[in-house]
Parts: sequence; C-alpha cells; structure tokens
Amino acid sequence: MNYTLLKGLKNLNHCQSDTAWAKTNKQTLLSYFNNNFSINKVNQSFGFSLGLRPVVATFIILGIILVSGVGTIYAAQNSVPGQSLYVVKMFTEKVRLAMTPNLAQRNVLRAELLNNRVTEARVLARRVHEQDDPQAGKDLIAAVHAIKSDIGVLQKGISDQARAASESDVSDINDNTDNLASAPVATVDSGALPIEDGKKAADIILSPEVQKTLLETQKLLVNKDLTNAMVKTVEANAKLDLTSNVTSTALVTPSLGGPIVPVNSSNNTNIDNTINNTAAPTSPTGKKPVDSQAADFVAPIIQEIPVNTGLIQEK
Amino acid sequence: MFKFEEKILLQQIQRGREAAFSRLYDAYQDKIYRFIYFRVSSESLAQDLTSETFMKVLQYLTSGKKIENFQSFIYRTARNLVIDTYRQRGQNELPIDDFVKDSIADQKDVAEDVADKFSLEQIEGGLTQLSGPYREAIVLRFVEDLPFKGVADILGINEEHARVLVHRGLKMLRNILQTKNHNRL
Repeated sequence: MNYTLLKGLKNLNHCQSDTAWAKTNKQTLLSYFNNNFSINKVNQSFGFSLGLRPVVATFIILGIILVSGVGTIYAAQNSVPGQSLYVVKMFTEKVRLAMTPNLAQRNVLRAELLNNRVTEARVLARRVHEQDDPQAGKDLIAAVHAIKSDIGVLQKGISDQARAASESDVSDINDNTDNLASAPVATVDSGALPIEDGKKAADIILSPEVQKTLLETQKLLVNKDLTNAMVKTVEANAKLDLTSNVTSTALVTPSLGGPIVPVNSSNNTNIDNTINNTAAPTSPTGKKPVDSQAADFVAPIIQEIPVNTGLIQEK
Repeated sequence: MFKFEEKILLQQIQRGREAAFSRLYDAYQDKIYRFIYFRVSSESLAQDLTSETFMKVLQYLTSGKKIENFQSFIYRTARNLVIDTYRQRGQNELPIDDFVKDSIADQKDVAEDVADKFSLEQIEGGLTQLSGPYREAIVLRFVEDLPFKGVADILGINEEHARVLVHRGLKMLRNILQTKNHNRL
C-alpha cells in the first residue's frame, strides 16, 4: 500500500511495542511503585488536607484579620481623645461619612457624630472634675473646639442640602429655605484658645443643654426640617462659647460674624425683639451689611412662620 | 489526555495511588516507545530505554518533586536517555544548531508539495536516515500529532526553531525517499 508522505508518517502511529513486554514492564514498574510509595500510603488520609493547606491557611489568616479588625473597631467605639484607639474611631467615622452619598443622610450622620463628640467631651469633663487632671483639661478644651468646628461643618452641610433642594424643585422654594441656602456658613476660629480654663469647659459640657440641643438637631434633620435644625446648631454653638460669660443661653450667628445676642432661648418673644433691635442700617449701596443679613436670616426662623413645603415641616 | 487530568493523576501518584500511575503508563507507554524506537531503530533497545524512562519518572516522583508538564517531562527524559546511550556508544549526535543557523526563509509548507507515494517501510527507513533532531521533530509533529509548541517544549527549543526543524526534516525526508525511488527505478 502506498501513502503520501504525511499520511505515511501518521500511519507510523500504529507502530506499537510488544504487548507481552508492555505488560511485564508495567508489572515491574508497579511493584517498584508500591515499594517506594508505601510511606505515602500511610499518610493517604491526610493527603487531601495537606493539598488544601495553603487554602486553609489563607482562610485562617483572613479570619484572624477580620476578627481582630472588627474587635479593634468595636473596642475603639468607647475611646475618647488622647487614647490610642481614638484614631481608629475617627477613621471608621470618616469611612462611614464617605460611604454615605446622600447629602441629607450625611447631615444626619454628622449630627449623630457630633453627639458622639459631646459624649466623649463629657467623659473628659468628668475627669477634669474628679481627678483634677490638667491634661484632661487641655484635651477637653481641644474637644470643645473640635465640636464647634464640626458644628460649622454641619451648618455648611445643611446649607448645601437646602441649596440642592431649592435647585431641584424651584416651585417649592420657600423664602426661609432661600435664606438658608444662601446663608454663609459658620467659621470657627481655629487660632489660640481663648481660655485655658478646663473647669469652665467642663461645666459647659456637663450641663445637659448642649447634648439636648444636638439631639434635637439630629431629630430635625431626620425630619428634613432644615431651618429649625440650623437654628439648633446656632444655639449649640452659642452654648459652647468658651469666651462668653453666658454659658448656657446665648444665641450667636458665628457664620455671619454677627454680635453675640444674649437671649433666653425659652422665650421667643424676647428673641424676636432682640433680633429686630439689632437690625443694622442699610448701606449706601443698597446692600445690607453682614450683621443685618444675620438678623434677616435668623428672625423669620425664630418667629416660626408656618411653612408648607416639602422641605420644611408644616407646623 | 488533558493537562489538568495529568496534574490530578500526578497528585494521586504522589499520594501512593497505584491506579493513577497505571493510567499514566497506559497513556504514554506506546508514545514513548515509538519516540525512542524511531531514534534507535532497535526494538529491544527501545524497550529498555522506555522502561528506564518510566523508572526515572517514578524515581523523580518518589523524591517528592513536582512535575508541571508531564508530557514534556517524560519525552525529555526519554530523549536524554537516548542521547546518553549514543554517547556511551561513542556515536556523536549532531547538534541542532548546526542545522538551523541559516535563516528561516522559504517556509512554505513542504508537506503540501509532497505528492509522491511511498510504502510505510520506505517512510520508516527514510526516517532512520534523518539526523537526530530532525527525526525527533518529525516523529513528534506528524507521528504523535503534537503541536509545534509541544514539540518545542520537548526538544527544549523555541517554537520557531521547532517549525524550522520540522520543515527542513520533511524536505530532507522527501529527498531521501525520492532518491531511493529513483535509484530503484
């Protein structure tokens, strides 16, 4: 039979070794195999687990990292400024904020975190009173300034939220909301500490007013009552003013650079009068000065003008 | 046999499973035998070297070492044994590079041009007249039907080099067979 070259080469594939030889050879090799692999056979039951050793090890390491990580984060929740785990707490809070894309939810979260800051400050304040620890006093003053800074950030957040709401639906824009959206945001003096009296800061923090006001702010933000939430932040900021002699009842508009207006927060009539009396004259250019803007901004809020928009709760 | 199947069998062999070795032996015994036979042209020597090849593989596995590509590993073991045998007998192997240092121009597929008819004995006889590397390349590519990549892995060269060997080997084989036919006529 004739083949072309390639076909012929392919047919050489049929060339096989002698069957008897192949069988004998196989037996010889198998006996060698059995003699030399007997040790492995003893450990055969562990073979699978040994094969999976890297996988198991990886899972164990991941488990340890997960458990220790969660444990650290959990332990850090009760830390206060000055403790080593406080950094972890701050980091987790920053992550939570970053993971909250919605502006309204972020403001609620900021208010919640502000309450956490006040709780921490209260722990430090108790230390100042009970242990007379100078370091705790310094930490407390720093904590109070941090809270004031956070209030400023929250005010900016509320302002942004109001602006976003007014831009998204022009028909629902309320005058108060307009004011809120265009209101300058509180800026906190980050310079030297005005006082070094930790005990005074402790008194302020330990009074229930600050925390109560911030809790109310949080509730108002949950209900999207931005105007009143902003008022509460202004109140809270005033209560935390370490430079003022008035420790618990002062309304300031730090965002607008306006004067401190001593008021009794429980009496709206007084507030109205005070604010109306502080209204500054109009400038020659027709534009109102900043102080006047502050009065314009806060006055209608305090008067609790009923509003009927989706943004501001109906009273 | 797929590579992943071979890997599983190798793992099982290292755990002492006789059946796994039996399967690998059955899959490769004839292939290795043929590969050696076309190199040494002696049935008994091919049997000895085949047996020795498998023994070497077993010894390697017994030592706990791992084999990534079994096909390449076993063919190379067989090839080294053949080379050692030649060396022991004082017969020099022609190094591959002496044949392939020319450019790789004119790479048209010679196989397409080969239309002459030959008997199996003639082809086998012609094959034995080729020098070692060409013979190995032709056997692996056409008898064992391995891709060029497989041929290259076994011969320890790159794929382009393997193509050149196959191309030239085929050309030489055709010339040898045509010359034989011409002389016979």
